[in-house]
Amino acid sequence: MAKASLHESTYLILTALVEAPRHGYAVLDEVRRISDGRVDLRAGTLYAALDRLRTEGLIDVEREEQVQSRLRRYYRLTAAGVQRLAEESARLRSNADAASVRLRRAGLIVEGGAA
Amino acid sequence: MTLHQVYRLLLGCYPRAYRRQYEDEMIGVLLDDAAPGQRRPLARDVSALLGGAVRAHVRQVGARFSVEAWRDAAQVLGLIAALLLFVHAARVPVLHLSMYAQSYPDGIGEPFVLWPGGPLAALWLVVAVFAALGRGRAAAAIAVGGAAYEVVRVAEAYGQYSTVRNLWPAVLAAMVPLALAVRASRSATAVLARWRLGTLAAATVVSVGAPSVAMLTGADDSTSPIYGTWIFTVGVGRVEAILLTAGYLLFALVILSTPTVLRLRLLALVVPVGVTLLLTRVGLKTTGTFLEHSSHDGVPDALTGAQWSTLVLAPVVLFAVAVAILHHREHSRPQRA
Repeated sequence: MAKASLHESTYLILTALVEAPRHGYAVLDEVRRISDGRVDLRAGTLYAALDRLRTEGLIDVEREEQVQSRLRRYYRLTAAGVQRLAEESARLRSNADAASVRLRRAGLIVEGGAA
Repeated sequence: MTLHQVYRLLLGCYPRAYRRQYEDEMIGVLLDDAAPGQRRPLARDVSALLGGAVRAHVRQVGARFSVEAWRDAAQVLGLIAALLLFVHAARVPVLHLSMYAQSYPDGIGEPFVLWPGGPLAALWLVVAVFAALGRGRAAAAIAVGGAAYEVVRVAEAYGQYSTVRNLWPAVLAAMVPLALAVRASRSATAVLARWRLGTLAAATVVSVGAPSVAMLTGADDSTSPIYGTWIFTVGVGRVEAILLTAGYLLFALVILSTPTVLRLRLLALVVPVGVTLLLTRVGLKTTGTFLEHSSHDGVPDALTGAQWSTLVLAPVVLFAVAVAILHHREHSRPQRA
């Protein structure tokens, strides 16, 4: 059975964890950076997603530390998370390529923008 | 109140287990993300936190109900409820057929008595057989038709007589497809031991046959009828009432004899039906009761908004309370199956 596509914020959270394990606030920051500020996750939304991703085994806690008496938990991608992100990226790329080819063929866009 | 305290207050909306896991961490992130000098939370943060709290509660409830014990309970409830609805629908048609068999040419004197009770009884029997065979999804699909009929019947009765006395079969019938649609690793037959299945069969036969036995033996001819609210029906003779009670006690015995984990869940699942039965048979009497149902010339008035609200909300709320008590009990004192 085909897996359901990832919600954009979930996709970006997984992407934010590719290069290194990050704590919650760093994930928020990285998601904003990756999306050029378009996706502005709030803490309530972020932790709902992190909890679900942990349950699904796509991310895991790497370590915890106290910084200025605040708990910081660092999350990392699991092997299943890497695979899921790679599959979703391939799916998105395939869809985007198909759309671009058809738009170009119909003369509705030229390279780099709308016709 | 400081920003930290406001966030702590908002996080109080989350389930306790979720708070234990994430509360301190989330407060750290919320404070890190706040602007310098910010005194109040942003509306977007409040909205995300409240939405997250609702989702966390829904997920927690979903996780609790997905355990095998609830799945087993759903299958067993589906089977027992289908048999009870069969009993409810089949009593009169069976009485009618019994009288034909005993050379009463007019049966009980109503030519259309086999319709719709006969087909409806057959439908619930098929549902019960499918449930017993572990074909829960097929049984659920068939049960949808029976449930729809029960709902239409109670709606018609309300439209004509403003009465909801027979609401309980509709509530029970609506639960059957929901219960049987739950994916379970084993059937109701596998969950219940063989003697319980035999007891269920006996309970069904005794309950269905009660009016026929009383009528054909003439045992009730010399006894005064009982008009009670305790027997799921009204205007029955004493012998019939005793037989019906025996049948229902056998059904109760099956439920009460199951292992604690299953028994508590079955009892919680029947709470909505029990509450509906009590409200409609006891609480909505025409005089001097908690939910007085006023009448003019013997015809009850339409139910008020408050009465409808109570009828709808009380079963749901008390079911939720029963489930919460059950989970709290098991959490604080783990049960052995």
